[in-house]
Amino acid sequence: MAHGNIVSTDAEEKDSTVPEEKSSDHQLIEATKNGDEDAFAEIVARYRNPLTNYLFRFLNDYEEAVDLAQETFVRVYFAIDRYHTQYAFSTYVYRIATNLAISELRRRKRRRLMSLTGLFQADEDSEVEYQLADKAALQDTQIVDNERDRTIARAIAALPEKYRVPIILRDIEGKSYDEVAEIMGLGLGTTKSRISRGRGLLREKLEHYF
Amino acid sequence: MSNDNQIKDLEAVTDDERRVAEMLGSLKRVEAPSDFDVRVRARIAQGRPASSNGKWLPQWARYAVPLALAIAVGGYFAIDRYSRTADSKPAEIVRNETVQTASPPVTAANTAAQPVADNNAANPVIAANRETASAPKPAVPRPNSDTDTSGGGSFVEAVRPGKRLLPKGIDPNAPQPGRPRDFDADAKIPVAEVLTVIGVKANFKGSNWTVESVVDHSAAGDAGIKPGDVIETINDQKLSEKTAFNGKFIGRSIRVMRGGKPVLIDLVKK
Repeated sequence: MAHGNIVSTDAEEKDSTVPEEKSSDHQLIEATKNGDEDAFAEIVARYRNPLTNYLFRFLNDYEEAVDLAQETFVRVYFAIDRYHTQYAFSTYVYRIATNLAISELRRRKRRRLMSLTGLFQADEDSEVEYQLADKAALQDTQIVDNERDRTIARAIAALPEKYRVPIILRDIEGKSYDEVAEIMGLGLGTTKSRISRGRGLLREKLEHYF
Repeated sequence: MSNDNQIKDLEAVTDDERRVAEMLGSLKRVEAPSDFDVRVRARIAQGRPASSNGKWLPQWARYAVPLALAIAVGGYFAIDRYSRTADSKPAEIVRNETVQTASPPVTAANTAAQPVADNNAANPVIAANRETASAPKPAVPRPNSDTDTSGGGSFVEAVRPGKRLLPKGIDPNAPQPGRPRDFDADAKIPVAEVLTVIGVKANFKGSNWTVESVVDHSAAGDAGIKPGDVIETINDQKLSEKTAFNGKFIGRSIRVMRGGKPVLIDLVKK
């Protein structure tokens, strides 16, 4: 595969491992397309923790992060026939998760607006959703065990979406600039600029920790 | 996802950025719950995920709300257009009436203004304007530019009876309510009060009212009524002890006997 050729360059150690992983992902995807449920379970096992952590940092809400991570895999499963192996699977799956997280944030804003105006009565489904919304502090206290981490988490969650996504992908998930640019569908220069700007904003918010 | 690669990237950034990146990298990672796989399989077993758009609305409302909005907007414009059409009809009638009532004096004035208009006949623009303005209403006068000092503006627009702009619900042809009756229309004003009002203090002696005194600068005092005058009539009405005037009293004249001679005194200032 093309990926194998790219890896053969000895520029960085990373290049020798990632394509192998990608290739493995693709094999698992092909197996899933052929009805191998264990292959899909392996994909889930491989990405569940990174995705959950990514979505948790994005939404600052553990329950919602887990829910959206599961939703991401459900969408991958039902759209698996449309997946093209020329793209890295990790890019594909992170892009789905990002879109879901952005939609969730917009839904939260809408709910907050509705709850302020009181225009609509909540039905049974939305009652459940209301309970889930905006209660991040409970999970924070269970998972993040000190005040500093909580403050950082809040600062990340307060960033505008266009800075939050690349910052998390780059500095927390450890993605390369190229991968971040590909996930966001942006140019490399724009991506680097946003990451730099996002770090600057965080630097201002977390000034007393430096 | 290599740390070495990340470190290389960080070398190109400032110290501040590097410290922020290191701080973020040091955050504890969260992991998926143990039943994550089971829940994913359960959701897959339930079927395809529903579209998240409009999830907060019931199924019927996703179609009913936009449809209701479209009907409301369309209805608003339709009613608005209808009401504008309905309002314009009575306004047209009013304009015609105005033109007709204005015609007689206009015709007379037009005779005087005609020479001025004829002087402009050589100018095709003015002539065309005059024809346009006078075609439906032939008797529109033109001002004399030598004597008219009212200022600028289009003469045609100024003399054309405009469409009356009325608030909705106001019908200019609606019958007008009658004037309310004056509260004192049936009141009776005794002659003693009338005399007091005009500034006369008088006593009824025998069969006449005799002036005892007159208040200075009052209507009677200014008119020349003097003490000793015997009042015979007010506004040509003979007086008795219980004479009363109907409704509003407006003093016009008083006839008195002074030195055995009748004197007619006009109360209206000239």
